[in-house]
Amino acid sequence: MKNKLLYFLAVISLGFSINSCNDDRLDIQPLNILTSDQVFASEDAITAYMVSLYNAMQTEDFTFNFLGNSTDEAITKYTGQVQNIGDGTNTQWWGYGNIRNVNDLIAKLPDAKIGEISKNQIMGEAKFIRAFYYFSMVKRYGGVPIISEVQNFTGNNLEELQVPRNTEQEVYDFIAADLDEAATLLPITNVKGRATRYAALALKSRAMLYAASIAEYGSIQLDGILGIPASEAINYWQAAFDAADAVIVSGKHSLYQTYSDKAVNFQMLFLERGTNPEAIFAKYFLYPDKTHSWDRDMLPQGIKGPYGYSSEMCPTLDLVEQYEYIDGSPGTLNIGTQSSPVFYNNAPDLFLNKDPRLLGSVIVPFSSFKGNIIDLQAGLYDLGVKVEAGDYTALYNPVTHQPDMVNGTMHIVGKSGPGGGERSQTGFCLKKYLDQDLDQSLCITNRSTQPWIVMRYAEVLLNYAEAAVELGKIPEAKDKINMIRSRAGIVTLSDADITIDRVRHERNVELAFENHRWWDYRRWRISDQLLNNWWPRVLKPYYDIQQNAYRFETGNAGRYSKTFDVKVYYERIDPAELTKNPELVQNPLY
Amino acid sequence: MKNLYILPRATLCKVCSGKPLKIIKLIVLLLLLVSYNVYSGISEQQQKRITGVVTDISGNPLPGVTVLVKGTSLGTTSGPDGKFQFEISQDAKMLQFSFIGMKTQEIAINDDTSFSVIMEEESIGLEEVVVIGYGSTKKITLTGAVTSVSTKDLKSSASDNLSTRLAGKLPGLRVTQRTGEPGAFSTLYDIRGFGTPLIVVDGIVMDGSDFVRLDPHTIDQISILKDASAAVYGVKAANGVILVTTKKGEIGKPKIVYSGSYTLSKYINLPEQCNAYEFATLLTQSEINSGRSPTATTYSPDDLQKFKDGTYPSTNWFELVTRKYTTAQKNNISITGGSDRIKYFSSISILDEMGIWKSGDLTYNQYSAKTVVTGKITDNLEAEISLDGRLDKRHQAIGVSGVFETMWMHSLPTIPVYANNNPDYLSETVDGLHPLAETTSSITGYTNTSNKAFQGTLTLNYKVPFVDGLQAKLMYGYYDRVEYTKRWSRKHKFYVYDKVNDIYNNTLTRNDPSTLYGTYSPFQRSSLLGQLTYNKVVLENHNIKTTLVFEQRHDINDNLQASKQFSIDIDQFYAGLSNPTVTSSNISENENQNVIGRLNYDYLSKYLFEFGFNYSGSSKFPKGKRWGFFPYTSAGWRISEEEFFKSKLPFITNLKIRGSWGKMGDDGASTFQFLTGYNYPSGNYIINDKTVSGLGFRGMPNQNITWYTATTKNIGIDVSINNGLMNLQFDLFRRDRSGLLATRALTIPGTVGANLPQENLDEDMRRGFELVLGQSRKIGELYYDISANFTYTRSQKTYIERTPDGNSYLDWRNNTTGRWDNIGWGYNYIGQFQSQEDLNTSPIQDSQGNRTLKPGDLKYEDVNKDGLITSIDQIPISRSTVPDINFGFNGAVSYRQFDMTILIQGAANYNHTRQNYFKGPLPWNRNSLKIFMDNWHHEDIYDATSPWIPGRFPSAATRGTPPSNGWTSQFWTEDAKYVRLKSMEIGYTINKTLASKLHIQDLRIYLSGFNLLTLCEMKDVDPELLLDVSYPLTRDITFGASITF
Repeated sequence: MKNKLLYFLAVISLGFSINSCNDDRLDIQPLNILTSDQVFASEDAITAYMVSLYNAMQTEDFTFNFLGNSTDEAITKYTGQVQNIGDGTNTQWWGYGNIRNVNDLIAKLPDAKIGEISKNQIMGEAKFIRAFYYFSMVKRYGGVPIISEVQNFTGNNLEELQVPRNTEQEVYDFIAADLDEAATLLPITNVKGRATRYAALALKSRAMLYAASIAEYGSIQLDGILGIPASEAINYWQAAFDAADAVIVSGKHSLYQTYSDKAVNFQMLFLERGTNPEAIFAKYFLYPDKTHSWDRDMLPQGIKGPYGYSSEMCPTLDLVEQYEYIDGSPGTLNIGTQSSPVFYNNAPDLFLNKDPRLLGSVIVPFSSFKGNIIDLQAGLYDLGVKVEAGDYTALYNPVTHQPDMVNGTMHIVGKSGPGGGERSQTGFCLKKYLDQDLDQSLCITNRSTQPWIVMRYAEVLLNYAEAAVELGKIPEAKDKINMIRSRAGIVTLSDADITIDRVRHERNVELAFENHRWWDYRRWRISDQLLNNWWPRVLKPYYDIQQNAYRFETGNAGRYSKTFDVKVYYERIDPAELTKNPELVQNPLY
Repeated sequence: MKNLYILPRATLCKVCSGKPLKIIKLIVLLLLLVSYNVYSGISEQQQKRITGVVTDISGNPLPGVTVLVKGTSLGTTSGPDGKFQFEISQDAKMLQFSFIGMKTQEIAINDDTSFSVIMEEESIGLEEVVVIGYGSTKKITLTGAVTSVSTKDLKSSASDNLSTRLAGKLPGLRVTQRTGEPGAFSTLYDIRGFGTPLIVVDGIVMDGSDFVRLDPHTIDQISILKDASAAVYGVKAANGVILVTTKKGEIGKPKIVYSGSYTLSKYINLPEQCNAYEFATLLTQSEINSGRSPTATTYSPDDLQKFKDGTYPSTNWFELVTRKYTTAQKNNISITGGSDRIKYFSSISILDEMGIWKSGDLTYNQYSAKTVVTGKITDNLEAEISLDGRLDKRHQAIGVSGVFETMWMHSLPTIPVYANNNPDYLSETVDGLHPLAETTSSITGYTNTSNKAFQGTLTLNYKVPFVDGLQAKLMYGYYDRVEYTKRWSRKHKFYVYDKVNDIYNNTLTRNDPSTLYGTYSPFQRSSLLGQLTYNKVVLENHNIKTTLVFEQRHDINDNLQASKQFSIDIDQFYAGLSNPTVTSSNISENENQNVIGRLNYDYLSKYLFEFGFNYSGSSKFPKGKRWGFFPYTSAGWRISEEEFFKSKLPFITNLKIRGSWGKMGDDGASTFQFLTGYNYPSGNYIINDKTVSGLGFRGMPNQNITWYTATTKNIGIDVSINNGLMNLQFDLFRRDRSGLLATRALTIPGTVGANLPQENLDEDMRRGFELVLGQSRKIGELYYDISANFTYTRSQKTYIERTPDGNSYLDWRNNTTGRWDNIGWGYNYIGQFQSQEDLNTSPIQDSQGNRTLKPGDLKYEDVNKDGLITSIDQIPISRSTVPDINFGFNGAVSYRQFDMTILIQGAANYNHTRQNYFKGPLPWNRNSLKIFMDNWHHEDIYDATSPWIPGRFPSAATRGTPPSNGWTSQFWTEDAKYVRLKSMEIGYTINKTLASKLHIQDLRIYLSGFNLLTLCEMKDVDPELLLDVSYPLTRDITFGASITF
């Protein structure tokens, strides 16, 4: 009996085994993949889709290259580093993956099972985003292939997929068309972070300004793939003017004027986390999900965060002197000469009456930031002899008139620079966008959350002014420039003062470190004049022991001059793209 | 009671769906069954007592000979005087005597009760039984490339880490130790360079992380399947298989063994860093070289002098935080014994290890327990229950391997440990990386990891009564592992003393706020196996063995992470602020099924054939692409068994040639590549001050994705001369893989915006050979066994799907089809620039007319003669970091009570390329390694115009050091070949008379060393580790004893 039972057991067990050799058990469903049907049946899921499209926009925010170092705004903290302004590969953005995703949405949205109002708004956003993507590419590469529908490889349509580049003008026109449609579909207000009608118009004014500059100052190359006929310039200036005007007349946005102190007001404009009337479109951050590391990267060495970063961009003396005095006089600093220096008992007095925007954008020597005096002393003068040292730890003994690490009572150089390590190489540190309330111990990787303003009202005013001057509309330009200057706290201009250089100058100082200058110099085709074989300058403060006052000297910052190659007016298209598509032509000189 | 034998099918179904409770119930049930049968079984038999003595040919008594009633597990072992006695049943027919190194003898019992047996020496190894996939076989009839190592070889070498014990022991198995850190278990191992192998322990697939933690005391045998013999494992077999068999109970009186050991370890191969004087010197050189005025250097000549004569202090951070020796203790007790009805083996191990920090905040403890009970339920049915549990505890200060970087680099010797030497105030170091803080839990926090694993296995073996030779086996295993990591990141402050005002400025606060992180990772695996085996001898000499197996395995992996911030330092979750962050990832589920068949045939053990297949299914692939058929075959011919051979070459006792061919698979592809749709969540964006998760775009799917296949071929020869006087084994092997994942090169333009999915397109090949030479002899009381092994293997891509590069150089460089893989590219270093003139007349390296270079900088060949050194001047300059050649030498000698083992291991044909701050001094103006004092510098280091003094390394420079100095070239690429005395052990066993006086059976004490001596051209970097910064390997000295009661 027992044996039979066991036999039975064996048979059953093996029978069971063979029986359960069953494909169904191998059908394991994924837990984290949604189907197309699921997505387009739910407004929340489409919002998730939009989130990914917004997230892919190259907003050139805090996480982007420190583009100021490629202009005359700033230099890198690494003294020995050759200041070569890129080889045309530094800011690549060949965003066709994102173009595909937005095209996919535009194609599927009409059949989505959601309300008409939502549908229109989402379509508007999609067009705005697509225009933004294409603008990111056209300003880098010139004409690129315009792909407006999802392409698929079917196995035998390879040639069909090998599309040539469109002309630069066609791309700008495509952007304009998308933005016009977006402007009609988008609401006039929207929640923070999502596009509005005025975001579309502001972007249009910027894009058209770029197109007009290319037409005006560029040249036609590669049969129009690069460049726009000069005759078209006026149309684009007008389009830029009209788009900016539409934003201005709407009255939905205004300049930020919250603090009476002009410098503080300008500083706080970039730290406003609530409703900011000046922010037309901004990218927001929230700890811990979405963060950046601006404070970690930019703080002066003396008050840096816990890890080894600081002063990634050192503002140049050249930039500092671009800021005028309040009375409109040129911004050259009054330091005297080597033989008869001007002494300042209070070092920041050197910057007295400078454009308040300077003090809102740049930390000047011995000014206070986050409750600390930012010590940027370059050395001492003792008995008329200059004493320098390489490091903050070096001490000086004013009794014996000798450097003395043990009994010294004075530091020779400042804790934030200049000198080796990661200290300022120029005598200045960046202030714009630095979060003055963030505790020093939190100035670390992925901890900063101040928003990045992608498009602000002041830029629209400047776009307007630039287009107006180019169109010969001097009074209109003057009004807008004076709006900016009044808010800044410096003297306003008369019609006679308004020239294209003056407008560009205003743009440069107002928008410094907002990653405009690199692109502006390129579209004005002046980078090769301004940045090639050019030495950035440093301001060196010295403490004179006998005078008990500061004196200043200048000199070349860094070990090497900057160079700019004209080919960089257009970026290099990744050669791998050319091998995949024989129809693509490379930009000149690459 | 007996009705319980029939398990309802429903119960089994639930079992395999992984319900732990059910399994425990089932096990309890079976335990009851076993005990019931043990008692009922014993009384049924009629017994008689037999006695005897075993001697060798010279008449010396042989202790330890296993005496068994043939065909049963009933038996005993001979005592110290060679005598044995035990009770056998009346109907027992044959006795079997076996002893390692002796020929097994069989003696008919008839009516005798007293036996005198003389054992003859065996040609070593041939009778050995080797575990293979789903079974075992005599080594002599093996046709595949299988190597095995058994307990006696593993006993020595006292490392606590199983995988390091295997290094150099198994030809073809490459083992590389990656750290000496207690509890890190990051040892890498592969078979013939094939990649991470499948690991199977007692028939159940085990993760590598569990394998390396196995308690060596529980291991009986390890086999590695290197060729087509692995193919029975189907879709998982492409990289070879490591098979582990654990110990089982043995018939006999209860035997209790205690083993204990105590180890002292010291780190090896750590580079030295500069002291304050050397640091200040290098810094001054770099400043002057970077154009700083001599008056503006950080340190004046006077400062330098004060550093040199000790007026200024210098902090030796390394000595501050590390201890000279670390210790480890290991204790194990095992009990084994049994009757012919029930046998048991039980083992408990405790391991305590300590790491290098003086603070004591680096420890590892492991507790493991295992019990196996094998019981005969009836004469035909045997049940085995194995319960195996393990608890690992690891305590680490926040800094572990990173602290070495901190010490070499961030911790300037010019900075004191405490501000103003006041121990209440840690002084601020560069980046706040303070070695003392980093290695002390009470300052910075800790990472505590506990890893609990449980495995329960039930096996039923059934001899089908009506069919002779037919056996059935059913096995169910449930494995459950939970790892819980708690990381406490504690807020701490640094200070700078302001001498002028006598105050301590808190200049830096790190880890603010304190944060506690918890990670919980449960993993479950259930395995079910049914197997039928049929063995038959036909017409006396035709041996047939067939096996049919069904197997299924289901894995579930989950993961949960949470963190909270704290305003006060209580490191428990309840005390945190109400801001928890919880994430979960890595949720995955996998199922594998296999149907396996095998047929072995041999004629007179002379002509050997094997055929088999595995029909595998994997849930990773789409319907229709899931199931694969993997056949294999092998054959062998024992020429030495042929009459003509025996008469002509009688001294060649064994000569076998064998060959194998097999196809296997690997389902290592990422899951769900065949699905369209959107990943969620993926990325996020802030809308209206809230985080909103986004969708991830999956690109084009591949409906045809499947495993890649590997075809393995192996030809081998085994020779044994004069019964082990000389043994030789030689294998030639080759593995071709096809269907490796790649993207189709008919690459669609980037403007399409999506990549083609990965497809099974690429192919590669690896081939090589293995040679093992050995000798075993016994001369009087001296016994020795030595063997040397050598493996050479290389691989190449035989087909790569790729887009041609834009230029011919890149196309040449990047198209590696048909080229050996182990080629390292770099610039051709041709010496250091000797002078400014040399610089001016040489090809331009910095695209700045060489103005950024200095004498002493590295000079490269302008291969394409265009006057510029650019990336297209790179040529092949080295081998890869993976050695082509691995070799080992094992020696075992015993003489009377003494025994000694030695293991030498090494590798060759590979390179190491220095990285980061092993390539130059003062990275980011941090500290340097001492070696860089031997550099190009000015005669007067404060005078940039004084003559250059040449040195081994280029001159020091601040961050502006020319990038060309750091380019990969022969200058930084060193030959890493090495020979290492990996372990050596000397043991002493007390003689039997003394043992019996002490009322114990056996006592052995030993002294062993690990990583004792290394010969290698490279300095500063360990040739096994090949990492510039990491926890070092250690040299261990262990004293241990093992007592059998």
